[in-house]
Amino acid sequence: MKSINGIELPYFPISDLKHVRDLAYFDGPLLSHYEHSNGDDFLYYWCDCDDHANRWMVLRVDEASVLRLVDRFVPLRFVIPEGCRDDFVYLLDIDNDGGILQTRMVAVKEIPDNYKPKAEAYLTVEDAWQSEDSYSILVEGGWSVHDLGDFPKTFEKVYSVLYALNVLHLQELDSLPWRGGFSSMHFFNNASRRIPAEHRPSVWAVQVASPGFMKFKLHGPTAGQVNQCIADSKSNNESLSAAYADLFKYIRDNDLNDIEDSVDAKWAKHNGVLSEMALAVMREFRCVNERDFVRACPRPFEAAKIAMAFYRYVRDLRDFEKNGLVRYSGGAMRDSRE
Amino acid sequence: MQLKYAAELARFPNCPPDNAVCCERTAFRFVHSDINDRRNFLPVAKITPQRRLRPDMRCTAHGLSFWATKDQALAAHRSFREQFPNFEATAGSHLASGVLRETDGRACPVRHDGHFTFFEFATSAIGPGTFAIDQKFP
Repeated sequence: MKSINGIELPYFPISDLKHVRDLAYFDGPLLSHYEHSNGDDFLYYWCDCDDHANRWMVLRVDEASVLRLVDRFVPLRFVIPEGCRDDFVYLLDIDNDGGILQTRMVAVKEIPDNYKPKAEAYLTVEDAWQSEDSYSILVEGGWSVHDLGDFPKTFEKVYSVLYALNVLHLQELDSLPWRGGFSSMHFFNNASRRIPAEHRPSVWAVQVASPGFMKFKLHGPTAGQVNQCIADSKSNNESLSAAYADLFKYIRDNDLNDIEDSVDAKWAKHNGVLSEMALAVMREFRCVNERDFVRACPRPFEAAKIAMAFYRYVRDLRDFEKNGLVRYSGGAMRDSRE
Repeated sequence: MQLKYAAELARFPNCPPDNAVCCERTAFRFVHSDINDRRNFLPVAKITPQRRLRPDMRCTAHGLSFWATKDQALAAHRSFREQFPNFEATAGSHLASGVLRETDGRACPVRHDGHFTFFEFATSAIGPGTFAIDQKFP
């Protein structure tokens, strides 16, 4: 391997790094994100190898930079090495057993060109592996205090429904009659309470800047499904809006909100239509299984109301992005670009 | 048929995955300049030095990486070279092609970028005798 100018260190001085995810992968990781117990973020960037060792560049970066890489907002070189928070990086030669054969501290300006991504290279995110227990979004633009409170609440509502359907596989999403202004609030509060504590979304870290980030501790795969729903609402915007508007109009035109008795004979002529219209909304979201939704919402009127509320909250999340406040990161969002 | 590395594969759940099936198809693989280089037809789990494998990839690390079309292989190699300029040192500088037979093993579904993983049978013929170098990557 190339001999590099720099200071040889007796050992790698950073310990306690926890693997977050691999960002590039071909027959083994090529770029990985690690987090230090003090909250600092590090990237391991593969840059060379010989018969005995792989050489990795280890650099301290901002989490927002990692998110921007995954979202392909910036080329790799913008972060590696130009986004390094220090004036130096570490070059580690690591053998087959994970042992560090050599550690060098190298000034950023001394890094050879072939140890840096090409200027025009962007991360290929096909293999980016999402964290199992966290989820981050990029914070852009100016956030009001109201936005700061509103975003996590809206996110949690969509997340709760997906978790109830796809993780808990609940037989019934809600047994309360859906009527009056508080129904929606009760429904989503109940849905949230059913999530076990370790998977209930909690805001882990916030950096309000442009760019900054908001990091949640939660069930990562479900957060990826929230991303997927937002992507679906963008790509299916026209059909979703139409399905929602049709359902809203049907309920209003038939005064269904005014029928107080859930066993009133009047429901018989509306149940079939309501079920079909609710499904027409939910079908637009690829990660909602139609049969699971029907099973979990035995009463068509409740199914219709849940579908409408779910759509509105996904639309609200989409609007956060549309209004320039957030960028949703990687994961399922990449499907919308394919 | 018995899989190559069967004892190791048995340690991982659902390995190879159920959707890996026997098929006959032309396939493309990154190789080093000498087709007889011992690294060319070894799965990543058997090559040293390894880049650190995360636990959930240890099953697929026992399969061989292939590309479904020449164009997809060329595009992927170019993209990796742009991101990691020394990529050839780890993955190879040449493109080889050959035919995978039903008697060679089981192929996982092709990803949208053309990549698929192939788990060999113990009697697989895949190697310098069945694959030939097409070109050096530009």
